[in-house]
Amino acid sequence: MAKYILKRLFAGLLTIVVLITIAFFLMHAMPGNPFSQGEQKKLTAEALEKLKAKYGLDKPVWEQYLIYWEGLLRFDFGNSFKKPDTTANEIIFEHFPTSAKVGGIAVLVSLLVGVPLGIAAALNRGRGMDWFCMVFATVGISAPVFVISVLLMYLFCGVFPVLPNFGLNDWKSYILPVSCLAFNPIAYIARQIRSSMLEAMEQDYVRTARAKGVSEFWVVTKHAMKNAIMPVITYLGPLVAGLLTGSFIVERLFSISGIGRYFVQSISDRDYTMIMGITIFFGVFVVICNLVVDVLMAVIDPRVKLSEK
Amino acid sequence: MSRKNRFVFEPIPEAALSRSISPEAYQALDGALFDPRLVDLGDAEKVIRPSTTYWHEVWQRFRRDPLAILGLAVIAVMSVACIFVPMFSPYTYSGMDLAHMNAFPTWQHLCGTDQMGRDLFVRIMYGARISISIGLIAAAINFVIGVLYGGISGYVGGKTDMVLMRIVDILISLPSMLYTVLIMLVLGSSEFSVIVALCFTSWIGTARVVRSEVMYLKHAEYVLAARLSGAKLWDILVTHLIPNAMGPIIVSTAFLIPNAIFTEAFLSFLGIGIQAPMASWGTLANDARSTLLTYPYQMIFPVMAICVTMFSFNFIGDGLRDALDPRLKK
Repeated sequence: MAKYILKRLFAGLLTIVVLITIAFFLMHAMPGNPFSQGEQKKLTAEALEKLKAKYGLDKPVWEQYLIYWEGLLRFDFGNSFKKPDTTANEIIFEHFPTSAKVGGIAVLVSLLVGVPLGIAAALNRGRGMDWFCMVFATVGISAPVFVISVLLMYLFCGVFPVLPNFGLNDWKSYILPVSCLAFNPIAYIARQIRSSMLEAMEQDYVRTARAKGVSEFWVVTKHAMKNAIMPVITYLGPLVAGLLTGSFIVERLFSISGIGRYFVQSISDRDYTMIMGITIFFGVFVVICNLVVDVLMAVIDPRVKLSEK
Repeated sequence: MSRKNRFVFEPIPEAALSRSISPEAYQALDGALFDPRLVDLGDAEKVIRPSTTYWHEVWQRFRRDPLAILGLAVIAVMSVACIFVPMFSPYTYSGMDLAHMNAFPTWQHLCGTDQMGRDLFVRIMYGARISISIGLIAAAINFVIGVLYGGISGYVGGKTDMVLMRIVDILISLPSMLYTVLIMLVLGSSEFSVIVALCFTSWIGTARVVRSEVMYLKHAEYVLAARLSGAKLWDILVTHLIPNAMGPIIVSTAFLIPNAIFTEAFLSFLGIGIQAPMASWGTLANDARSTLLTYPYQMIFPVMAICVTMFSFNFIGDGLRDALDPRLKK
């Protein structure tokens, strides 16, 4: 077990190192920089040189790379290029909790809606409920998050103005962003649970449970579910990554001051340190989530450990 | 002996026997007396259909999937329309009709106009050109990269395989959107950059499929025979392994197309994809963001175009999967 976790930890660290290296060199391969003459027409050449020196942009790239690493090891993502008085750390720690809250609720909602939906479809195979679920899942999986978002926004803020279309002020304003984020995951989870449930219900242990007189409720919830839920736990890793991507859109559309919105903002500002800082933060976050899911799987399902040797 | 005729053993009919022996005796015989006799089987064994090929069978199965055919039809119509509509339309993607700004859909402007009076229908058709071409080109490039990467990894095996697969593991463990956004920033906003950005990680799925197929197929006897007769790695891959693994490869490539279309629309929606005055569907949706509640049609039409196209490509992918690999069908 310890060996397995160590191995995963090492792979995660390697991933982060690769991401940081790729991100750093891509950012520095970018044509022009925020302090080139083209970008800042009002400043004199002398002032620009001073600014470059302040941010260490006058040093060779390799030296900058090492300096950046030195900062990272102190959990310092550097100052913003556009707003000199704010650091990337401040933005991350100020706005990440908002995103985490919306994302966390979205994870809960997708599990709480997706799992029962999938079970209902599997138990009513071939009937109306199943048909409804499969249509919903097909639509939900292919529809891009921004399409869902603008349609829901138009429907509930335009045609029927019942929900607020910006900010996060009361419980009502959570409904739309969370639904937009959870839409694709619900569809995916429902489809996954449906197929793994259908498979589980045909297994010998389900027949044994029925034969010994276990009520249908417990057969489904205890015996079949325990195995059918496994693929969903594996999906939690990609789910977090998907919510991250979705948050760029949803936070921008609903004017939520989460970290996804600041990421998009810093992209259009070409604010290198912010882009790098948030990218690396996202990378670390996803790697940690995947690690947790992997360990969780190994704890729950002994077969995982065996296959990993 | 001709194919039509052959010997069959038939019991002697009761009527013929009962004339000579008693019914009890016949019962005792219990049908044990047989008389070889020539019977004409007629056309029962004649092969009347031409033998079918694998791809013909695949098409037969694909044809029976109504959603897949619908998807194919929609894509066909859209492809033809996006080539010819801009050629024959009086409007262009950047031409402004200042008399009709923010006009609701009419016969003159089928999908209305945007805040600069540009015809939305024509802009959506230009968007279709961008989306479909990006989808196809990106899928084709990723197909080549994935097949080569997975093929070499699977066939060579050993240390090479381990190194190649570790690289894939590292790339896949982060959301590809992070890399995509970084690459877009470096290369600037254009169709070309979108395709390059898509080629950074999209091939991984195909590579994995190819690798596992090749690992399975490489122990086949025809591969051994090819190796013994001195075929090179490249020849074995291209003439033996990849054609035999084509089914799963096509399925995984088919799903790359909607994925590429989604990524392009996503990037353009964030404002780092295709730039004005050129319009992709994502750009159109992004432009309509501020006027969503006042001029909803400016948002609804492009968004519907994205949805319909992605559904169609996904349906085609599902149909291909069922047709190429019936074992997967649940």
